[in-house]
This record gives sequence, C-alpha cells and structure tokens, in this order.
Amino acid sequence: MIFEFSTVPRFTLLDIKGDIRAAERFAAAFGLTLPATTNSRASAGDSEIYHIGDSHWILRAPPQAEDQLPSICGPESPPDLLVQPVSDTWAIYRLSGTDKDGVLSVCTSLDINALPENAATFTEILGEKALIISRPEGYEFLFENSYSAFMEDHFSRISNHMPTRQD
Amino acid sequence: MKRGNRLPDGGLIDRERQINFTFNGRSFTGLAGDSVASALLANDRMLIGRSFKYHRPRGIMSAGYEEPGALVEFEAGSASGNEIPALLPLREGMRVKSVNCWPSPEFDLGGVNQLLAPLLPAGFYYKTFMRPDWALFEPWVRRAAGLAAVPRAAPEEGAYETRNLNCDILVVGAGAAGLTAASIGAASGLRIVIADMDRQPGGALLGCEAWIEELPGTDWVRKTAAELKAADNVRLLRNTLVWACREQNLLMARQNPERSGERERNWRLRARQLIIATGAVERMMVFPGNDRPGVMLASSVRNYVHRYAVRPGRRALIFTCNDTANEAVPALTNAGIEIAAIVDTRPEPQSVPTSGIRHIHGAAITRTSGRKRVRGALIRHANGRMEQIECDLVALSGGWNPSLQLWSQARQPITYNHRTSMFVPVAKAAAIRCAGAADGCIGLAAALRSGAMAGAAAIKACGCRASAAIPECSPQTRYNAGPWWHDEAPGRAQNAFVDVMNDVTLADIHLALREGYRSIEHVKRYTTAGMGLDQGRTGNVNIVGAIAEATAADMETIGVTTFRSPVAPVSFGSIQGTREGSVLLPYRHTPLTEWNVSRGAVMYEAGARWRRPGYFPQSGESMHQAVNREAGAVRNSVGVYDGSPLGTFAVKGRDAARLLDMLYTNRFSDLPLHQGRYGIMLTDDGLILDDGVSFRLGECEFLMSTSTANAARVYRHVQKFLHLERPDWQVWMTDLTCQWMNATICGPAAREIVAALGTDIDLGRGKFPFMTIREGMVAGLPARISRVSFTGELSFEINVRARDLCQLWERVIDAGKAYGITPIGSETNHVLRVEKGFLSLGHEVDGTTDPYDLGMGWIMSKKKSDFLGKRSVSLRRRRGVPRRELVGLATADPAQVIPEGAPLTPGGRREKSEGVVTASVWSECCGRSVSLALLQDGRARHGETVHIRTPEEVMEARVTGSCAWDPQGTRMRS
Repeated sequence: MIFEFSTVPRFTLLDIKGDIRAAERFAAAFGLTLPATTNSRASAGDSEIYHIGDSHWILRAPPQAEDQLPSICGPESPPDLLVQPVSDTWAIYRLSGTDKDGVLSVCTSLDINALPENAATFTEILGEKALIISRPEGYEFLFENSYSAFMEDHFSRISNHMPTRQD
Repeated sequence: MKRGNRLPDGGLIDRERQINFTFNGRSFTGLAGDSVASALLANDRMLIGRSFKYHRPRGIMSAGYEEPGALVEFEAGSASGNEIPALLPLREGMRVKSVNCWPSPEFDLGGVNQLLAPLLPAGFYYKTFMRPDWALFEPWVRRAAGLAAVPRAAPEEGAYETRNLNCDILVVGAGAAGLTAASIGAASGLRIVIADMDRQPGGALLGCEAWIEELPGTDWVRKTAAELKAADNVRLLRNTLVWACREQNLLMARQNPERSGERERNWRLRARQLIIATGAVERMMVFPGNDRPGVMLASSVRNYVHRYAVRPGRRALIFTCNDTANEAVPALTNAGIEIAAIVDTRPEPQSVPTSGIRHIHGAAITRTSGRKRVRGALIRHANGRMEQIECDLVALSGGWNPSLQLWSQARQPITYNHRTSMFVPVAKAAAIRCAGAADGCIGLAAALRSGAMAGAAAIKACGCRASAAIPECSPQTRYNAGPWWHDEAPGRAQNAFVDVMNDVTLADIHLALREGYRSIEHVKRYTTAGMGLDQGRTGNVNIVGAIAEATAADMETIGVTTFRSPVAPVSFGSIQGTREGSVLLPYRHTPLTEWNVSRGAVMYEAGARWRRPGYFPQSGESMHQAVNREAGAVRNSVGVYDGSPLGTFAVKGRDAARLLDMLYTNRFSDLPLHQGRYGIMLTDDGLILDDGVSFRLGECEFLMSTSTANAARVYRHVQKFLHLERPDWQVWMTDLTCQWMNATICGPAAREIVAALGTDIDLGRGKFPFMTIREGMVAGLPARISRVSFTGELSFEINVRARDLCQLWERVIDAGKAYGITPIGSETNHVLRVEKGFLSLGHEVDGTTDPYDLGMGWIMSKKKSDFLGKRSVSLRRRRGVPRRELVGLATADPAQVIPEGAPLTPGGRREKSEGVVTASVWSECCGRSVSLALLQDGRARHGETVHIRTPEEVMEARVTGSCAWDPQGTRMRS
C-alpha cells in the first residue's frame, strides 16, 4: 500500500462561535470571507477559514498570527463572538499517496467520492471525531491532540493489502 | 478401495491444478475451482460429521450457504469455528475436520444420544435434569452442546480488516438477476457495487445449463462480468457475503480475499439504492430419515454435476412437488447417474414427463434406509401400495424459498403467495427492492426480467434515466408448485426432520403445539427450529406448513419469524478489523505521559480514555507504600499532579450567566469577576450529573470545569438544552480541555513553589484568595492560575498551553526539590479526597443521589425560580421515602479497610442492605482507615454502630461525619 501519513507543524487555530456578522468582521481582519456553504473552506493567502457547524468556524492562520491573539481574544473581544485559541487542541496530519483513498476507506465511513474540492468537514476517523480537509495532493486531518499517539499507532497497523476493483 | 466421484470431463474446474488437503487427518486431492464440499464429494466422503443433539450421521445436502447438514472446522493454527464447506474455496494444504463427533464421524461415542432420543425432545432441558439440582448436570450438558470448538488463539496467518464503501446502487447477488441489474446500472454512470458470496459471479447459472442471448449461461456470465469489470463506475466484490442490512441501507459484508496475508475483510457498505438479488433456496421435504447422508437438494445435485463435475451418487431417486426438479434430470443422466424414479406428490402430472424416466404421481417417500448413507427409500403410492426403491442418492425439491433475510432485516413486509407456495417480499416505496428469485420470480426468464426492472427502478430513484433491456434466454420449466409439508405416516414423526441442523423433528413441532405454543416465534424458540447456523433456510416454511395443517390456520397468518443478522457465520476478527492489541480501545495522553513512564508511574485509564499515572512507586515500593508516601507529601509538604484531563469549557454570550444558573443548582449570575464557585449539575431526574468549579472571566464569559469522565456528556447535555429548550439564547461553548493543561501544586508549601517559579501574579493570601483565578506569566509562560482544591490542601492549579506543559512541569519539579516535591497519581488523589469527604463520580455520585443525600442541601438555591432537575428533586423528596445519606465510617479495627462496594446490612445479617460503602482507604495522616458510605437515614445515625457484610466476614464501624481531615477547610483556604 502506497501512502504517506505525516504530521503537519502547528498552525494558529481559532475556534469561532457566535453571530455571523461578528464572525464576518473578525474573519475580515485576516483577509478572509466566510465560506458560502457549510462543511467548506475559504482561503486568503496563508489563512483559511472552515465553516464546520451552525454559527461555528475554525480559522487557520500562520503560526506567527498567535502574537495577535491577546488583543483579539481578550476582554475587548466582541461580546457576540466566542473566539478561543485552539492551536494546541488539534493535531494536524496529512495523508497522501496513490493508496490514500484505500487507507481512508479503512478509517472512515465518509463518502470520499462525494467530497468537494474545498471540503472541510467533521467526520469520524478510526472512531474518533476529526476534521477532514480535502487538498489537491490528498487529505488533512485534525483530531484532538490527546489522541495523537492512538491515531499514529492505528495508522501504522492498517493493512498493506489494497483490494483491486474486482476481488 | 473408495470409489471416486469425479466425472471425466466438464465442470468449471481446472483439471491441470491438483490441490492437496486433509480431512480428519487423511490426505485427499481436489482440483482448482473446487469447494471443500465438492472435493469431499469427489472423494466419495458422504459422511461429514454428526448432528447437534442426536449425533446422527450428517452429509452434504446442498451447494450453498443454506447447508443444513454438514459443517467442518479447520485444524490447529487455522482453527476458525464452524465453516460451511460449500462456501470454502479449496486451497492447497487445507486441514479440515468434522465437527461434533469423537473419535470420528464413522464411529462417534456421542451416537449413544440416538438411543436417548425419547428423553431429549424439544424443551427437554426444561423438564429433565432439574433434580436434585440443575447445577449438577449443567457442566456436562454444556460440554456436550455446541458444534465446532472455539478457537483458542488468533489465526496463525492473515490479517483482519474493516473497510467502508459508499455507492449509488448496491446489488447483492451476482446471478442472472443481479448481473442484469448491475449492467443496466453501469450504463447509467452511477456508482455501482455488486457483491456475491461466490468466488465467481453467476449464481445458479454456474450449476445448470441455460442459454442467454445465444450464449451458454456461463459464457454470458463471463462476458457480462468482463464488461462490468471494465467499467470505471462498477466495483465487483467476490467472495463477499452480505450478512446484515441495517438502517438506511447500511450493509455489512464478509469477504474472504484470495490474496495471501489477508484473512477476512468486513465491508461496511452504504448505498442510496439497494437491490437484493440473493436468489432462492430449495426446500427440504419432511419424512422419516430425510437427514441421512445421501439425501440432497435436487438443484444442489445438479450444481455439483455441472459446476464441479462431481457425481454424488450412482442411482438417484428424485422426490418433488414441483416441476423444477425435472431440470436436474438431463444433467444427472448425462453424468451417468441412473434415475430410479421421480416421485411426485402431486396427483396429476403438471408437465410433460421426461421420457424414459419412471414417474410416480400422488406418492411420497415414507422413510429412507441405510445407516451412514442412504441405501434406499420406501415409497407409498397413491393407492396405498408400498414399494422399496434402492438408491444411494435422494434428490429433494420441496419448492423454493426466496432468500429474504436481508429484506426482513430491513423491516420490509413479507406475504405468503398461495399460488407459488412461497413467502415473498411486498414492494414498498423504499430504497430497497428485490429482484429475481428473491422476489419470487422462479425461472431464468423471470429472473432476467425482474433484474432489469429492478435496475431501472433503482436508477430512476437516483434521479437518472435508464432503459431496461431484458436479455433473451432459453425456455425454462414452469414452477407449478403443489405444496407438500410432510409425510402423513403416523408414528415416525420423530425421525422426520424439519430442521436438520438443530435436530428438530416434526414430532417436536407437534409437541410444541400440544403444549400450547401457537406463535411461530414461540414454536421456534421452544424447539430451536431455525436457530442454527443455516437459520432454517431449507425447512422454515415446512414448519409453518406443519403448523398450518395442525391448527387449520392460514400460512399468511402464521407468518415467518424475523430473520436476524448475521445470515451466515462471520468472524469477530473481521468486525474488529485493525482494532486489536494496543488500539483495541482508544486512549488519550497528556504531554506528560513520557515523563510519567520514565519515572516508573503505573499508568491506567482514569476516565474518558485518559491514561493517567495511578502512583509513582519508588524502588521496592508496593502500591500501598507509594500512595502513603505521596499522600504524606501532600499533607506535610507539597505534591504535584497532572490535572489536565479535567473538562474545561469556555462559555460566553449575552445569556451565559443565565445558562449557568439554569445548569447548576446554585447561582452563578452574581459571581464577581475572577471569582469561582463550586456547582452541582443535575439530570432531568434531579440526580447528580456532575460537579465542578466555574469562574467568571468577564461580564459575559465564564470558564466552566467538569469531571474528567463526564466532560463529553456534560457538553452534550448543555448543547441539547440550548438547542431544544433555549434556541433563542445567545451563548456558546468551546471545549478547551486539550488547549489548557495544568500542573496542580498542592500542599502547605505550594505557595512557595509557585513563587519560586517566577510569576507576575501576586500570590499573597489577601490578594489571591481561595476560589479565584488570575492570569499572567508563570515560569516565563502565559498561564492561568486557579485556586481550587481537590485534595483539601492549599493548591494552585497552573494552566498553560498544552505545548508548554512539559516545560512547566520540569520547572515545577526543579523548583520543588528543596521542599521534597512529590509527583502524585490518581490513587493518592483518591485517598486525599476521601479524607476530606469530597464526592467523586462513580463513588458517592452513582446516579442515585441528589445533593441532599450528600449533605449538600446548602447548594440547592432557594432563590432561583428554576434550574434543571429542581422539580424532580422536589417531587422525589415530597414522597417522604427514606433516603441513603452520605456518612463517614470508622471501623472498629482502625487498620481495617473495607472493600469498596460492600453492603451494610442490619446486624450484618444476610438481609436487604441499608447502605453501601462508596470508598474506603488507609489514611496515613489520620492513622486509621477512613471510609465513606451511603446509609439509610445516615445523618440521623451518627455515633451508631453499623455492620458491613463481606463474603469473608462482618465488620463493625461507627457512623461519623463524612470529613475526617480539616473539617473547617482551613488548610485549603490558607
């Protein structure tokens, strides 16, 4: 089975919940507009924002953006918006390679073929909640950091045998 | 010398590739393309094993998963439990053996059960072996029960796997109907998956001669399968048995890959549209001796001849009640099998009799003869004359049963068709449809038409256009079934089997009816008919027919039992997939796990899958010694623990304060800034759900904590309340459990340690009181410190980002060296909180207690108009029923620690308990054991002596208050 499962260095991640207009203004500060549809992402430069639930977004920015956080998440933050740094909550992994879809078929019941190019959606991977982001080269997963060792352990066990289409 | 049964030509086998295998330790050969069943028959192995209860000889009766007679198991390292030989592709080196016999199927000591048969009717275990005590008989009855042995170890080779696959249309079964439906689906461009239990597609076409579109049936199959294989949107899963149909078209399928290294794979298939083309199973016929080796289903005999070039006998007697049995005649005669006669229960011929073959109408087999193989059958003619016919093969065709297991599992309706004498599906407006014989369409033309229609309908349901091109085929025999449920000969019903696998006879059915069981579900369970691995596929309808005749009830009214999954054996390994060993269950770690392990911590799960240190034994220490040392350090100097797994949530919004007031029994809306308050959360039933401290961080912002184990549950509880009860409230909640992690320093020297770390936070007693929170820098790291205490000592919970925890921890350990700082684990925390009488989930909070039970009536606000659970508490208490209340226990022997969970009973007598010990520990600081209990009317019984009953002894203890250490809380508030 040909696939690569690797860690991605930490990014600035912000969990945003609240009023959509307040969220729009907040995202604009990063040059972002909110995704038009749910379970999708919008990008601007090195930053992205994922619409992952009702009045719920995750903003991803370069690591250095964390320096801005005290001013945007402190007492002066908008009252109708809950913005919490979650850069340490989520571990990010990347899956690529010719057999990435086969690997994913072991990990999740998500219909991979139905994922649009700009997908960013929560699903279940190896039984645990995870955010999956489709990329041109493969997929990225975000799952809770506390499960990292378990996830890495499990991925290492996945079968090396890939079924052909008629077997 | 045993005769061989392999025909000199024909068959879908590779005569150039010989395969060696063993059966019961003896070596045999087969050919590539054989199943284990066909290979055994080719070697004239008719006696395969012994039956479940009576240990009667059993042979191969069918060529598919409906096999009721023969089971095998693998030997030694490949031991697997029961296997159906017809479904096992023969592989080189296979070591197969019989089940349920010893020392051999030819000579089986268990055969003595046949002499005991009158004592072993249905339900015998409810009547016999009762006196003097069932427990005396149970061990050897259990040893005698069952068929194949449970494997003792995992298989030597191969891996298990579970995979997911989504599609637009799933076709189950690659016979004529299934392939037709799939072909139409392929042309639509939709995603098609077709799954078949056989290694080759074709279904019944593999076992018969037929022509489709001017091609032999097998050639048409080959051509169609090749076209499907070439289509990018089609996936063909071979060796894949769909064993379950769950809600919303989620199906489970077991695949036995032919690739080395893989043992079994479980597919979780999701389809927008499901087509069940699982065919039909031929029905057994019920007469005494119908279980004898050599009695087979007629279509299966044909299958073995045509597909495997195996001749199961030399002289056959065909017994039927429909015309499809005639289709077997040409194949049998071409294979050199002499047809002694066709015995037809119908009084008049329904179709043109096959020339040269003797037809006996209006007749029935009344019994077979032979010991380990059929040697003949006794026929009763229409005029009552009896005739013995010699034969070594009896081919039965009692009609057809559409395979509706998956349809039934999908909760779709089934009705009885009187014209065809079958239970058939009733089409409903659902994303599921049957096709072919599964839909009651017996005959090739009907199956092809049905498959085409089903395929077109499924495509249309997916929003696409389709044309249903129906393949042309050769003319087929009509069905013309005349139902016949059993022989009428009196006195022999005890050997007339309705369920061959479970040894259930017609006499058992009649017994169940006499004893008052009328429902088919009750008859099934009382007799165990249909409860074997074959789920009674060949005999269930005969049972319904027998009940109908005995009770004059209608077949439709009696109905069929509910089919359960799995429809055939599936290994736990494939369901489990890769979840084994270290990943059997998920686990979570904090960043400190490596440090803990390197210090020799004993790690285990301590709630919500978190792996935490239980204690840190130093060289030679027992757990007891380590815990005593750690607890002593906290009480006398300073300890530190990783409190990261505690649930932590940010709550913010205009209605945040209202939310907390609603969730907790006490008020939070009046909490000053940077102050915290302990709260208890109730369920709707007014029982304690969780507890924790919440701090106010801003006008509309709070930091809420929960217990470790309940973090996810509390989050769901809050979200459910907000979405269902208060959707208009403006408040949001974010889980920060893994964002902020903490090192909690506790003990008299805690303040000095924090100061030694370096901080810009004023730690003075007046500046940083108990139950407050501060933000700032600690050890050069951004931090939040909260003054809470789970141990009853002065404590500082230093929260930092998860990435900084290891650095903080090292600094804490370093700063604490001068004070003898000691890392402590969960066991020590447990001791410390028991000494303080603090409640803990799973102990005092066991799902039955409210705050009043725990002496915490003070936390139940009298001023709030409402909070979750308030009314339920009030209603419960209004009943005035005595409650179990939290107390402390001081054992008469101070050194005696009580087993947690031990009951308290009046006088220690064996009576209804009046309480339970929720926690009991040795307290180094108190110099005695300290225990907590929930005792009926406990608060009114302080000073009383109560008794704890254990299996070994009765202990005495005095009822005390629940706090054994620093009752005023002076130390933690210092």
